[in-house]
Parts: sequence; structure tokens; C-alpha cells
Amino acid sequence: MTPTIPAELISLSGDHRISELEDIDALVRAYKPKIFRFVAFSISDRDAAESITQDCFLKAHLTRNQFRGDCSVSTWLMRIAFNLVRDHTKSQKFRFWKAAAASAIDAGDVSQSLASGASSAEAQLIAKERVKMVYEALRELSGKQRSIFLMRFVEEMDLSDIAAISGMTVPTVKTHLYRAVGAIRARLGAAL
Amino acid sequence: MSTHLTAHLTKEELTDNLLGVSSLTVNAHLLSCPACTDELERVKNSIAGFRSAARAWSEDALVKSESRASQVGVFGERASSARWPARWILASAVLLLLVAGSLAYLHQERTTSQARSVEVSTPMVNAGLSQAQLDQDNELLSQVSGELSEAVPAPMQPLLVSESSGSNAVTNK
Repeated sequence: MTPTIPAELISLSGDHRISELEDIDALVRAYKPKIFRFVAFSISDRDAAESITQDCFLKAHLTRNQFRGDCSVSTWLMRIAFNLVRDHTKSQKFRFWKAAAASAIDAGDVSQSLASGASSAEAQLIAKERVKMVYEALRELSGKQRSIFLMRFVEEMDLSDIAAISGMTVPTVKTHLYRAVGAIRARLGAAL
Repeated sequence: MSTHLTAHLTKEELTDNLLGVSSLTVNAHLLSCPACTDELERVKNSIAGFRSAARAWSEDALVKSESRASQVGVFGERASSARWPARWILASAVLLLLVAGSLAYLHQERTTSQARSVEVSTPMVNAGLSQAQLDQDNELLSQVSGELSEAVPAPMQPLLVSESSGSNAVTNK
């Protein structure tokens, strides 16, 4: 027997989600880390990621009346961010100098951010090296594959939410993930 | 995508396991295949490590970004006002240079025109200054002219007088 949710509760939930969009400061505080992280690793550019993150919240605030509350605010924001990343990637497609941008995210910096934990120095070194290889493998993926990988394995989102955000079917999302994981395995296998 | 107990996992089966949607067959294979288990653990740990590092990096980047933004916010006006004197100094320097350049140009122009006027007016000044001399010269010239216009030059006048007296004497003879 499937439990049914009262209509007024759904409505209340939707209203609550909509009202969440009214307070832009609270919205930014709650979701900025997630949006910024997703954008930064999607485009590998820190400064551009900050700019796109701001655009994302601005767009969300300006179009808050279009939010119907049929998904979480997080998913809605991720959809906006996904589209902004796609537009940015398109506009940057033929700019060869982008790889040399001063604000490009360095693989070494990312790997150094890994917490030391209680493992041995050698294990830490291996772990950091693997982080670096995963990041380098991600950079070689297509923009869509990279974004989908980040949504699933970094933001730990459901496949159905990723499908809704990207406008793909769940099997297509899985296909992108197969390729992304395959590329990471290849990189790890080649190096080790 | 069925997996035999002897064959290793395909990339799809391995990814499905990472996604938490692997089948019972795959799970059974993993229990009996150390190679696939190791491979799965390696990929899983690498992705988990990347997740942790990405989160730590982004938190750090955001803190740095907000720190920069707060510095701009707190010191923004100060920095802005601190930049104003520099701008004013620069603008004043440019203005001074322009004024100095204009003055130098005007001075040069004035000097040149004065030099030209001196050149032009020098004959007049010289003429003015030698007016007395000129009058004397004119007087002298008029004397010379008067003397030249006479039929017998002044130095020869005595001869003319003596000659006339002599003829009178001959006549008288």
C-alpha cells in the first residue's frame, strides 16, 4: 500500500519551497557552496565559477515566480547552474587560451586539499595522487559527462534528479556515467 | 549484463555497483573475485577522495573569496578614497604639464614674434635714432648740391675774379 500525502501538505511544501526563494541571502548561504563547487569543477575556472554562481542566484531570484515547487530548491538551482555552465562552455569552446587562465583550478591544489586523516604518509601520498588523476581524467571528459559525474559522485544526487536537471533520460545519464567512470579507471590503471 | 562467476565485471557492472544499483549476480561475483573487489575499491576510494578534496577545496576557495570581498567591503571606501588622492595627483600633474606646456609654447611664440618685430622695427628704430644725423647729412647734401649747381665751383671763384680784373686791364690798355 502506497502512503498518500495530503494535498494540503504538498501545497504547503510547495509554498514553503517558493517562500525559500524570497530570502535571497538565506538562499545564497544555504546553497552557495554546492553551486559553486559544481560550477567550479565543471568549468575548471575559479573566477568564472564565482561569477556564474552569482548569476545563478540572481537568475533564481529574478525568475522565482516561475518556480512551481515541483522539485527541491536545490534541484532547481542546479538546473539553472547546469544551463549556465553549458552556455559558458559553448561560449568558451574555441578559446584555446582558457586552459592557461590565471584562475584555472590546479590539480595539485585540489589534491592538497584532501584531509590527511589518520593514514600513513605513503597512503596519503597515494590518495592525493589518485585525487589528482581523477581530476585530470574529469578534465578530459565532455562538459556534459563531467557535469553529470559531478552531480552524481560529488553532490551525490539521485539519477532521477540528474535526469530532470540535464533534460536526459535516466539510461542516458547512466551511459554518461559509464563513460566517465571508464575514463577514470583508465587513468588510474595507466598510472598505477 | 549478466556476469559469470569466472568473468570479471564490465565497466557498466562496476559503475552500477558504484551507483548502488548492482544486481545480486554482481554482488556474488565480488564475493568471489578479489581482482574485481580490489578494482572496485580502488575506483570507489579514488572517487571518494576526490569528493572530499573537491569539497575541502571549494570551502577554502569560498572562504578566500569572501575574505577578499569583505576586504573590499570594509576597506573598499578606504581603498577607494585612498585611490582618490592618487587620481587627483595624477590629474593635477597632467593639468600642470598642460599648463606648463601651454605657457612654454606661448612664451616661445611671444619671443619669436618679438624677435620678428625687432627685426622688422630695427630699421625704423635706426632711422629714428639717426634722424639728427640724417638732417645733418641732408643739410650737407643740400650744400653740396647747391655748390655743384653753381656755374663756377667755389674753389675756382678766385680765379674767376682775377681773370675778370686782368681783362679789364687789357681793355684798359
